[in-house]
Amino acid sequence: MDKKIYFIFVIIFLIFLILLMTISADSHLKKEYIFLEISYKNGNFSLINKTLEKGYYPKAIIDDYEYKVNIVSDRGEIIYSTAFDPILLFTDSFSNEIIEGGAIRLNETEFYVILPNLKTAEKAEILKIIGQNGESVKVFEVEIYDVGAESCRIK
Amino acid sequence: MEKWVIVSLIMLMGIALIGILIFIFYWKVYQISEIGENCSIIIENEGENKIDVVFFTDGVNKNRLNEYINFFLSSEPYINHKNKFNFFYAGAADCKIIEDFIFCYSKETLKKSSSCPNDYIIVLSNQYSKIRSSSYINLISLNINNPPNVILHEFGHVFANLADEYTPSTIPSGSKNCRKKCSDFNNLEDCFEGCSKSNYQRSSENSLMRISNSDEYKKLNTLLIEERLEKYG
Repeated sequence: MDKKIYFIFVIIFLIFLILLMTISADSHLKKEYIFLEISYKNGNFSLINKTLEKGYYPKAIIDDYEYKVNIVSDRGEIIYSTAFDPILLFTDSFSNEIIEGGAIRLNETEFYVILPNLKTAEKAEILKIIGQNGESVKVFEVEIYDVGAESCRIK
Repeated sequence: MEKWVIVSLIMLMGIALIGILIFIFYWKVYQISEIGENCSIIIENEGENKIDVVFFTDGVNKNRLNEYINFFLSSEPYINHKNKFNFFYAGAADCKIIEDFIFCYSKETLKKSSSCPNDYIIVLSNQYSKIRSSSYINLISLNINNPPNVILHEFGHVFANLADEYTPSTIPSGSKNCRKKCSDFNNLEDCFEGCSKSNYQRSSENSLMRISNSDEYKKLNTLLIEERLEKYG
């Protein structure tokens, strides 16, 4: 009788450990982000590559920049939004008293958009802010998880 | 009560206790392992919603990081918001020279930075002093042979969208420190001609967004930075 009880307790203990390990593995998997490689040339954006990566992504920025990136859900709702300016590069020379250099508007560049991996995400879009009141025009859109053929998804 | 029931109860309690201890142990391990294995903490404050800054080095000894962090945190207005910043180190990065400036923004560096919480990335690179530092999106490429206040100037660009106050330059969309008219400053400070564009106005004569030997953002820029800092905990 005693042996049976011991055996049951050992089994319960092992189940408990396995559950704990599963929770642990799951919590690590949650730190994922979508890495979009985008090319810009003379006003046109195009996708080079997209991958699902493990790790941290930067917190969203809600301030006024020239471009906004939205994640749109499968229901068409904006579920994440951040702002940036991939066309502007600052260079500064501190050789003289007055700084020199200046910001350059790029005609051509490759940049990377890092977005959280959200469960209901469907597509990512880049909007260009064109008006003082936040009016915008969509300049780029990508299905986040599709990689070509219908059956191929990155998650 | 039968002896085996008592033994069972004691064992059950023992298992529950062990379970709780294991849970606490793993919970602490999770807390620590939140940071990737290539990431080391330099300064981490308690709480959430911090400004996470990740450093890389390119031909620079890791010991130099503290010099820059101490300088940054002892400068206005960051000195009053020290607990809003976390600093991490994520290893070495490769930078390239384009014309006369340094550029460390790359796919590899961005992916490596993801092992740490990363809102802003600063790469310290050892280049000839003539080579300019630069900022692109959220990454600052810093030549350590430029004066130390370059970090303040570049952080002003990436963090608060501040425009250059020297001329000529380009005013970023949504930037608020260069205005068309003096009246746009609401009598906040003085008004001086020339702010990225010769026909735009700046609110202080010599802020660190204009001159190389200043460590002060001056009033308007400080307010704009503080507006952003207020969004963090």
